[in-house]
Amino acid sequence: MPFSRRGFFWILVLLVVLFLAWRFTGNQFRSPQGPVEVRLTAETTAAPIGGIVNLGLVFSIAPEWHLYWRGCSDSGAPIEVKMVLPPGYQAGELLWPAPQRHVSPGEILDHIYEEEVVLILPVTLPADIVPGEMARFLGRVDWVVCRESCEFGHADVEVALPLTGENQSLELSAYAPLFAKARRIIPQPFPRDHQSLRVRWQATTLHIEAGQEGYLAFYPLSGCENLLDPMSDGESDKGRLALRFREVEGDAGTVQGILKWRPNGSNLVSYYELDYAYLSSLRSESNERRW
Amino acid sequence: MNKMSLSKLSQSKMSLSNIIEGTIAPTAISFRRLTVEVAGGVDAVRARVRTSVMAAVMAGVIATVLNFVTAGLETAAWAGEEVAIGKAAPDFTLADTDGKQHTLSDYTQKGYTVVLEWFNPDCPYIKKHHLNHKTMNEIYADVKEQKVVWLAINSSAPGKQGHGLEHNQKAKENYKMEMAILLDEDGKVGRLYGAKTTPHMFVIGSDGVLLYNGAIDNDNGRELGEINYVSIALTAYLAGESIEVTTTKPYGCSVKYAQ
Repeated sequence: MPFSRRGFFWILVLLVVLFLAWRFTGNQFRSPQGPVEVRLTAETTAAPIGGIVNLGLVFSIAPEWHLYWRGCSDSGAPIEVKMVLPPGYQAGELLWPAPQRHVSPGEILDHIYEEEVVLILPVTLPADIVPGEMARFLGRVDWVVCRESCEFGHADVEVALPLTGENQSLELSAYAPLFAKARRIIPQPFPRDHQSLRVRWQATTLHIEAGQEGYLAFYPLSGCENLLDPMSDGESDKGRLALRFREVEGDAGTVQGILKWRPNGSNLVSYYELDYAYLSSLRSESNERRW
Repeated sequence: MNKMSLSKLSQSKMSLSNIIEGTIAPTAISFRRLTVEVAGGVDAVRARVRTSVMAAVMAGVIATVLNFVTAGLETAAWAGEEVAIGKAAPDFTLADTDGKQHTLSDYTQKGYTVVLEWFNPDCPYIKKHHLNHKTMNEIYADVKEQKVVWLAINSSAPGKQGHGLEHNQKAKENYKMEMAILLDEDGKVGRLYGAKTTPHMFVIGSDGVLLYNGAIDNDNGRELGEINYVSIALTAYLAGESIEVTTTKPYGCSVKYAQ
């Protein structure tokens, strides 16, 4: 029938147009900056004199692309942040949320961020600033963003906040939910008396064992070259990790990294900072523990 | 006794063509030459064909298994060649973008020191060192007259970034590269050396021993590093001195291996 053929033709055209629209707008979206957009924000609408303001670098990452965590990765490079603060302001430690493991052919193991990541920087303001002025924060951010291919990217960022008295209440900004979301995956110090996780050395292997089955992963932060096989040893769904290290001469520092733990049957995911001295058999130094 | 070739049987609506052309043929056993003897009527033909097909399928399965086993043995043999500082670098042969074959041992036997650079023309780190800066060309120019050969190896798989003969020929021209680009599209040499990034650098002495494995320099961003490990290693080795830094963590884009 001529009508149904015509109708079929137009439906086909519509489907092709919809597909092209999806392919070249939604899925392949790139901002004018490239696959990454970054903005400097604050958790509150003002900065307290003599108090702490939490700044946040919000990275929006186009689908399929990824940025790199500060820890060990075989390829890419970590995001670099340089901040310019007004005189007397003190920057705290930049807080990095836990990344994801990403394995590419050729046993290439990376630790990455996809979609969105917020790096939080607490800044302490001096107590002797004049109220009524603005606090201006400037930064320069550099990154490598990869998908199948990689690109360098950078941005100059800025945020200005009104100053308020130390005792005045602070209002949360529109970005506050992003800070709250990021904090949920910022690792916490590993408690010595953890209910279910135990960490112990046996020869050159660091064993991390849970009292029950579940997903455990270790994202190495430093000493990457000392881990024998982070690809195989770095994750397990049995609730047990055995991280094999090569013997180290002299002061090897500590084993640092993030531990991800999700017990089977639970949606609760915990992230811990592990900072554990090398066993004395691995080096000539002491067997001191550091947490 | 009638004799009927399988190709004729395939025309007799017995659906053998798929098996012959598709599933079994890739195991490198030619079924086109197989013949089936026909002793009786259609039922007998069917029975014999069924038997033959079963035999063919079995042969195909066995051949496939053998193929996997031998491939596994080959991989194991490759994997057995450890890439370690102070040990012999594994030998390989690869063709460059002009079709010329390069064998590592040919160079070392002639007393050449060899630099291997893992390469992908589209990687921004490669562009940093070949286009924005002339890091690789400059180091090579400094040592070329001292029996040093520099080989850029591209392990990008078909369909992946940086792959393709013409593409690499063009890159060699655009980047004014004096070194050959060797194509390793199945990634065997890359995996053998454990090459992770582009660039990932290896320096091999004229005795075939691996001297250096790691990064080109100490800046994994867009700037040039202050310390060029490869240049330092080459200078020391060619002067007959020991190399202080033999291993560093390579940086760059991931090598685009096949799945």
